Amino acid sequence: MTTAASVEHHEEAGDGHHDHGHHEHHDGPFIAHHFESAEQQFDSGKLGMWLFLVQEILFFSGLFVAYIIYRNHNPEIFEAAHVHLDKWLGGLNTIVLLFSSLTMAWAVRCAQLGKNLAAVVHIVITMVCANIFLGVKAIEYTHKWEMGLFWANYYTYGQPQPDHPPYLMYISAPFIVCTLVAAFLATVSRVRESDFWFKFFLCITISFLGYFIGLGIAWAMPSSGHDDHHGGHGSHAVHAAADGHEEGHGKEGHGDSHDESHGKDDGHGHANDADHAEQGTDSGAAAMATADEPQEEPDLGGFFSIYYAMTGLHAIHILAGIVALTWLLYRTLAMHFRPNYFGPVENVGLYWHLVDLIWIYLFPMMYLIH
Amino acid sequence: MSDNHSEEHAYFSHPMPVWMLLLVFVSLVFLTVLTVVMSELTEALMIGQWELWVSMGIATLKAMLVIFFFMHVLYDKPFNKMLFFSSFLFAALFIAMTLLDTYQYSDDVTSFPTDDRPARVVGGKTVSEN
Amino acid sequence: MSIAQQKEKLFGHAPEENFLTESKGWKSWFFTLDHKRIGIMYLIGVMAAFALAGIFALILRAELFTPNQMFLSNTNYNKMFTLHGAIMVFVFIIPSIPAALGNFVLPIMLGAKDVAFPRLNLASFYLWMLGTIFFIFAMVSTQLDTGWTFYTPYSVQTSSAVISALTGVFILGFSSIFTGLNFIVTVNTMRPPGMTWFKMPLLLWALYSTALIQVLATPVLAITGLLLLGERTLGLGIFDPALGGDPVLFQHFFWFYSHPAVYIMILPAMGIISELISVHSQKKIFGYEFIAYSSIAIAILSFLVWGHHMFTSGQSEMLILIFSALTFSVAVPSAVKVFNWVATLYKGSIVLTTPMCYALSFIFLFGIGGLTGLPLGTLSTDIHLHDTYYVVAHFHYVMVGGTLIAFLGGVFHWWPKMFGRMYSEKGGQLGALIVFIGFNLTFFPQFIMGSRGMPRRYARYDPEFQIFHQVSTIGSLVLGVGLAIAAYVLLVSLWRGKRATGNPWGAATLEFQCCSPPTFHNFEHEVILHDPYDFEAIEFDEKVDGYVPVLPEPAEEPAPVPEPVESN
Repeated sequence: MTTAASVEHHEEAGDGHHDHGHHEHHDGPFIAHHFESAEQQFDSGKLGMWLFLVQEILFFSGLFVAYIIYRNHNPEIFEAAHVHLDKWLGGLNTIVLLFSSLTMAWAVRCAQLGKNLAAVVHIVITMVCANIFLGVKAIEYTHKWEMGLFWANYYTYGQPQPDHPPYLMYISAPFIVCTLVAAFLATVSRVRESDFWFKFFLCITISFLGYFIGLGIAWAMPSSGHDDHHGGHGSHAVHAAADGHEEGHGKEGHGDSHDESHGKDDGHGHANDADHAEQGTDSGAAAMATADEPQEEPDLGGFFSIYYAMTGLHAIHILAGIVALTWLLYRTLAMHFRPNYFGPVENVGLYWHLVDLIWIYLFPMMYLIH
Repeated sequence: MSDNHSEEHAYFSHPMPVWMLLLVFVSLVFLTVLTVVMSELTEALMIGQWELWVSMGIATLKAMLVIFFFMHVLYDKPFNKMLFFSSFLFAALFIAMTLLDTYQYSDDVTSFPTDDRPARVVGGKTVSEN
Repeated sequence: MSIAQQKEKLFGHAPEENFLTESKGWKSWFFTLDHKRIGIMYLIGVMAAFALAGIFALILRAELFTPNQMFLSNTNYNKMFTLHGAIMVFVFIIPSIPAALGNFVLPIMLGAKDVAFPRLNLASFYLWMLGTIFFIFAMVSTQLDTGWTFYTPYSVQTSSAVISALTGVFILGFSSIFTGLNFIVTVNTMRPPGMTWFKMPLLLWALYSTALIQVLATPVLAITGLLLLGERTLGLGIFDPALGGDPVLFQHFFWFYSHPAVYIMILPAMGIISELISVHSQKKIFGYEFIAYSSIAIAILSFLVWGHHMFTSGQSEMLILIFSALTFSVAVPSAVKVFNWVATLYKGSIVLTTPMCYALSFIFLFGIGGLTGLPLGTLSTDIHLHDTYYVVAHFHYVMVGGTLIAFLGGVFHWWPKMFGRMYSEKGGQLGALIVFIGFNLTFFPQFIMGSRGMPRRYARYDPEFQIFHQVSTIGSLVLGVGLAIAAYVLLVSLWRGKRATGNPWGAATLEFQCCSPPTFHNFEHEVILHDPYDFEAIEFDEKVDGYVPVLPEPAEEPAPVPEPVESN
């Protein structure tokens, strides 16, 4: 028994085999030649996006494994570390992201109904929120760096901080450049009376302004109380470090070059376990007698390694999201979407919600749990 | 064939009503505030050791809201649902097995001299407390 | 038009225009979105990588001819085996069958015009190129001496080009993810009406299972690579014990990907063998559903056994027991496949074509490779055999005797389809025979010396092992000669080969219903869907000088109603 099934729509001879991109099709301009219908294309795109999200989840699962294991091995570090994170800034960022998710979902709805201009508004709000998030994050990061709260190898908290480079300037520079370039291009488009590009670059300028809003909000947040407290704590540690205390010892060695410190120190002590196990089996040994003060703050470098790895990768995903949203902005302004073609908005939306989803877990894991 | 296409709009797009989006957002904000307040009041509420589970529970609730409504999983194809949730299964497998292992040898790690159990120096040798 | 004319028109020699000739110039290749051209580019690429890593292997074997140093210092030996392993695994074997052969045949076998995301497909190829460039950069700078596994803490301390190689691995990982993603979507949504799941050829089941692993496991490799990069560049301290990290954790991360990855390598090979065995013995595959389900079962089980690489690495005893027990479960679906292949051969009209020669070698070598895996999964024996040449022999029997042989069989099987030329059957058979002999000469002695205690990755050894090493080295030369003959036979066929008909083997799968080479749109006629292993539906046609589908008489029956496509 054989079944004949039409697999191939015979394309007319003059149709041009070379143009794989956008064939004129009965379904509208954006149905690629190898799909039979708009729905098949939509389903394929969406399944592809889900698979990509599956991939993302497993990608992040590695970081969650690292977090959970480090937490289990060193619960005291997590208890000590979470006070360095400002839960109000984190909470604010959570709400900003949730709001961007709302506008993203709303943009999808608009695209589904073919309301491209309404979708533009929602996409721009989403982009502004993404930039606010990054602005707040920039303040959080630079504030920590100024205190020496780096990842394991460069962790110098509690030691006197020499003049540090202007971290915030470094982080903000790309945003300033992007804003200025977008504003410039908007002006040029205005002068050239290119309405489409004017709108496009204006929207981008507006969305980058979100970054500075984020900076402003984080700057104004009353979060200094925590820092003062820990400033005091820090000076205690400075004192301890001056005593030839383990904290100073281990970190100085590593700060320079940990390969050397490998040679110098008892290699086995290092090769076995946690870094706070650096008991200074060599030079600092004599000073160890003072080591067991109960209020002593442990070396939190390990926590901050995981903190920066997780939030940093999350921030990179936000940046990627901004790029994807910019693309969507272009396409919505060009009025590409209609009830039978809105896959790109839907799929970028899915990605954006996943980024939000990861933050929903990161927030309590990093900022809240004692 | 082209007749079908005009009808399929209704079939494959499923716009979410605005009230539902807003309701989900409000619940998400509520849960966020709840979890922050809870962590402020850990001691007052006497939830101490349960904090981890409560916080993660709230986070999961929020995640579910986002997944089912914002990501439209509620209305998605069964295969996509299965795919997405199975990824959590594999992530859980990864976490569980690795955790099981490090639990088993964590004794070796913690019995090694650490900050909270500092080594005493006896005759130039480092001796751990146990 | 009479039926005979129709047949000749549809299934005879290729039309003047096919996918190879339909457009010209390097741009038409470099920017092509045609899955067939991308497959061919992948094929050339992975073959080049294989040749390169194969030369490294020959250099290694030559150095091991005597117990003492000949021409490689210890450091250079380390670098040589690392580059051999890393390039073979990441650049050659993983993309070989799915990305090269799979890309070419999967959409055609399915009856689709292309994969679901042609641009992503091309992007995946360029990612592969980029990753390979990073590897080559590592190779020409300070090489790599960590072994392909990048174990910490050594990978953090060594001065070799770990960063470049890891970046390469990271990028290659995404290339692999995109290929897998594309295949899953293609199989799910691009099946034409009537092509149900259980009418798919078994290769598609295998590629689908492979793709699931690629999407689920490879991201863990990506994060592992990224964290290790962070470890080296920033000193993150997650894996580096000197900074409080856990090196065993690195191994968990690495093997959570890399164990499933060996199934990324072997599963599509098994799919190819299912095709070859059935077609070249002209017998319906035995136990179709068992083979199909066993592919999925292997894909899932592959995620449960990663700890068996870590029996001696400081993993806890409890996990060792669990992983050891779970390891044996993988043997079940693998054995199901082997038994089904053998049962298919039984009373089949076996023709010893070149692909069949490779398929038979596969069954033999994979049998040995699979069975020698059991002592490695057994705790007590593994403690003795771990990190000896026994392990080297075991995985070469599976990866080379399995994957490479199946890859070659697949290349010989689909070569006429790809380029429209028949190769010299005698030459192909000779190549297959020499490869088989050379392979066994190379790797069988390694089982013996491994079980006698010769450790892997050592540049020098006790003179008592010399005889085994010498046999192995001679074998590797024979293997090299065999592969060279195979390559020569294929290349010569491009100029001298007889033109291939649409279906030279009498296969019933869809890719043999289009002409050889296929046209840009794959099918120029309506596809006739039937069971992929129903050889009754295929007959030899004298006029066409090849096999053609048995066409129903025009007046006999009304046009059958196509079955609706399942929504997913």
